[in-house]
Amino acid sequence: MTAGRLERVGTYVVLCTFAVLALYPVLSILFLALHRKTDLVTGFAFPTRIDLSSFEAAWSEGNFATGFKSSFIVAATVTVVSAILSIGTGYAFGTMRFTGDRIVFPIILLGIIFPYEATVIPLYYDFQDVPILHWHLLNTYWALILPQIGQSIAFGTFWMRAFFRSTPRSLIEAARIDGATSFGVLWRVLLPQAWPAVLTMSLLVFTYTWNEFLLALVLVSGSESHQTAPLGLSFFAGAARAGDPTKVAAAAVLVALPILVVYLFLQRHFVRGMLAGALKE
Amino acid sequence: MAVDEPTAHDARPDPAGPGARRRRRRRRGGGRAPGDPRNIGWLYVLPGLAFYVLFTLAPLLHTVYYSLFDWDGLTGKTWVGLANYSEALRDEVLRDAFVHSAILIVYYAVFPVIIGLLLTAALTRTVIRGFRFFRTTLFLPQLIAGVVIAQAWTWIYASDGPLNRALELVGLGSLVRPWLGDFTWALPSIGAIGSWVTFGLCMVLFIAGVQKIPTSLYDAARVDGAGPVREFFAVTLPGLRDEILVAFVLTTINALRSFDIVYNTTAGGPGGETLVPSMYMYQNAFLYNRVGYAAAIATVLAIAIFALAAIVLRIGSRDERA
Amino acid sequence: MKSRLLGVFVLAAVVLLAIAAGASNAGKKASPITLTMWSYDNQDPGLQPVLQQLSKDFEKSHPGVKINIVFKDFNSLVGTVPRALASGSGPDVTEGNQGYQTDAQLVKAKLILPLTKYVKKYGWDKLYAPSTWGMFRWTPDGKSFGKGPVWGIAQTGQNVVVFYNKKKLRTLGFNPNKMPQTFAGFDRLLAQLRAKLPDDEPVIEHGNKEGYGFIHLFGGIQGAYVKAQTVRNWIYHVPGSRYDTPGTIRALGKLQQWGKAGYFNDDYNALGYDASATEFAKGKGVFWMGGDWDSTIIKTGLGAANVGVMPVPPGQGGSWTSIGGLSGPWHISAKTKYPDLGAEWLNYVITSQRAKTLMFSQQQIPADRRAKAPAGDPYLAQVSKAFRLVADDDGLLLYTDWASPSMYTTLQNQFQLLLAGRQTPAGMAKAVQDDWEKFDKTLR
Repeated sequence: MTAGRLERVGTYVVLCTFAVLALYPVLSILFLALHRKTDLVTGFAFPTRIDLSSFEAAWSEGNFATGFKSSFIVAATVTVVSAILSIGTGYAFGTMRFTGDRIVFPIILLGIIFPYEATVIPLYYDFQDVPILHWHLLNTYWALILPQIGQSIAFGTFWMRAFFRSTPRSLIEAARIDGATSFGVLWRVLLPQAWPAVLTMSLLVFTYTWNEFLLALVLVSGSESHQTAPLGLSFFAGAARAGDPTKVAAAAVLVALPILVVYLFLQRHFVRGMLAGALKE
Repeated sequence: MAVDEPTAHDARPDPAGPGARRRRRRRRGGGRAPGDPRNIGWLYVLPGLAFYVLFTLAPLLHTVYYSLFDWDGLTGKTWVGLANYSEALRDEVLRDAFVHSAILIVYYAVFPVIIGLLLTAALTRTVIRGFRFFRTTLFLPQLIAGVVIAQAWTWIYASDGPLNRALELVGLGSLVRPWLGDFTWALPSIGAIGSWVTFGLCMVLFIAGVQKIPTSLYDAARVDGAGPVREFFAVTLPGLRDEILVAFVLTTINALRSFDIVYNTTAGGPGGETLVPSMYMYQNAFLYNRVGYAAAIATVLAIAIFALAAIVLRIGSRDERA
Repeated sequence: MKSRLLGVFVLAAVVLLAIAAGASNAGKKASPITLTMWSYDNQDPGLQPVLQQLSKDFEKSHPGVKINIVFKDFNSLVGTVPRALASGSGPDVTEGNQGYQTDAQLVKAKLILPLTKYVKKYGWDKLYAPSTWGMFRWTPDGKSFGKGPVWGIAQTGQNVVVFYNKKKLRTLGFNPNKMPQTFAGFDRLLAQLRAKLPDDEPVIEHGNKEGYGFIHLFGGIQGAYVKAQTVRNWIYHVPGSRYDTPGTIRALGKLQQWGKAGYFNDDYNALGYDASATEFAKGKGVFWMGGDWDSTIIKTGLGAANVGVMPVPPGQGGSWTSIGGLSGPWHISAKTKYPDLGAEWLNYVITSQRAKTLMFSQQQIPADRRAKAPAGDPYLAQVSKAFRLVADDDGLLLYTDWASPSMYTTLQNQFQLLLAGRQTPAGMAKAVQDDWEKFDKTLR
């Protein structure tokens, strides 16, 4: 595929423009955060020197050590558990036929377009006082972990099913003929190949869970020790922005940082997984 | 992304031997290994399904249940049947909220799909130096938490922030305004944020889709003397039909759900100009203590989302048949 | 090798679940005793350092006790506190908000304790005038405001006043020592300033982003046209009270006219309340009309010698009025394990001499009417006088958003529409009254 020179230049212009647009908002709060409180920042706010005092202030005053811990515990648990469960469901729907599979799979798929906001009200009251068991799970990590596992199943199932369907039948056949059980096929034949897909799915689930806000606002805002980082940022911004926008910008950068770092190091997997996986039908 | 594609199972020879077919209840070969009981698939599906049903489907039904009561969430419930729904239908605030969501759909879905297509065309026509850099960068907005996005854009839209400064610098100082506090411009401002967030997702979907289009089609088009634009409309666009459909469904739903960004930028203001249904539901449930009414709003929102997804999919498949 | 990795994966899942379970349990308090307080008095400088210092003092005098005081902005706190209290793992002591949106709910759902026994124990009845206690009283069903046991107690007196930039007034040719003593005079002064100031400079710097900015500012105007008692009756749902009276409609018209005449900065909807005080402190605008809880922010920016403080001058009725009352009501959670300790903390931060000294040092007026402002701080004297003038004229309007659970939102929206020219004064008054009546029916 060749293209004229003009077209090439035009292409680069378009790409660079949008790349700048994509990056600028993140850069803008980074710039803001590199200032000191007393700098009275306006306009583009290019930092003339790098000052990390706002980051220190944000970290300690915003109680982000706890926020990060909470976010990590919740996101990691949800990611790992839903990955395991999705491997299971994806495997079943992707390689097997069983009664009712044609009804159940679309029901699970519904979860991708599901209005999760509509479920927070009963989740709140049911966690406040769990029916029959009478546990009090508000302001605990369970309140965030359990629903988000449920919410990730739809995407995870879709993802792993697509992957399993794309594996050559012959491999599965061969293993079956050798007498492997369904679990054996999964464990020995399919999973070793599935790592890119599982990794990509895990990264996406981790990211969505880390970024979740409404659930945290409704279910754990009563306890500072269980607040997630995004929730902490929301409260911190409301309380501190008037007096110190640089501190709030620093807090925002901190909350986004883990995901960005993981993404930059693993972005090959993110995108390779997306290209190789789901849409190859 | 057809869900009901017949699988290769149908053509497989029955591993248990030709005679076994008579003993089976089902006509087609199943995915069962010799020695495994039937419906072993359920064993793999059940744990995930349980979480899904318990924490997603069941609560939705529970919401519908709450919507039939008048309840402040703290004391006792009173049965009111469909009264909350009749109030919802007459509620101008709710109507406005849905109108705002409809407007946001243009920003969250239409613009990003167009931009995504444009970027895909740019990235895949020729070999681009720094392809990985562009792909990585353009997808970035998708990964940032809504709260963080809200802080970044609140700063950009601030009266003394970068956007106004940029306008002044290029001589458009008359356009300077407090964007998120302006009655006319608050909603489009939020819409712009939405476009920024989703265009990367569309682009990634389309790039993946373009890989599936056989190069022979492009070659044929080129032989016919098609330039880049005609190539795009004749080959790329039709080839991406499925992906465009998926993109529309996902982004449209996103527009209807937007809570994080609205809550953390304008909280529905000014004067309710940026109020969206999810925000209104939250206000009723947790600020005005009208849980039953909030549940009714949530139910209406859920119905709207499912209906919209169904419509978009229906339109998509109708195009295919035509 | 890959299957071993999967094994690691599964092990990680188990370990994480265990941590989650353990971490959840770790939330329970062992020793020392930790009390969690929630407050929205997060102005710094202002009440925030006062509360933090007092809490440290309390810890020193109570070994084994740790005070964890958490500051949130008003909207976030009020929006999350009922559920936080209901969960049983929320704060032990917290501010609420007088009125039907918050306190009525807390009382009705039995989330806070009546303070009767502590009033007796600590002699709190000497803190305020008997009529002031009305704002903390509710019948236990949460329906009748102003009667019944006392459920909350406030730390400071609060008032919405006018801060003025003396230097700017002098530069423009006015004498800051001769401020108008009538509302009409004040209105004229605003017009004169508008004529003299360059177009892009506001007369009144204002921040309405949270939504309560105009509620407060309007209180000063409303008080010039309507008797304070009338407004208080309306808030307390005395039967037959109305908002859409000719006086109020005229007052709304006056506010709208100020907006049309361009007295305000045009980014008021995007600027926060405290942020606008900071802007005023940096020299923007001639006046800032808002709460005296921001007085320290203003003093820090402009310098005490440069700021004047006065309530909005009286209208034709002749009495000094303003919107305000006392600060947010402190409540004790019904689910706390340490109610007595909580009450002791409250008593310390409200009545102790140390507390009063600290409050005065930040130009905050203790609610305790026995507190005497120290001499030698002219700025503080102005702030204090502004409060006492109004309190003594029985001119505290309280806050109109107390009148129903949705009144806060109704007023927010209506003010924004009114100022944008999209609503008429009569239309707004009717909308507000409609909200009041809809809620009033549920009380009968």
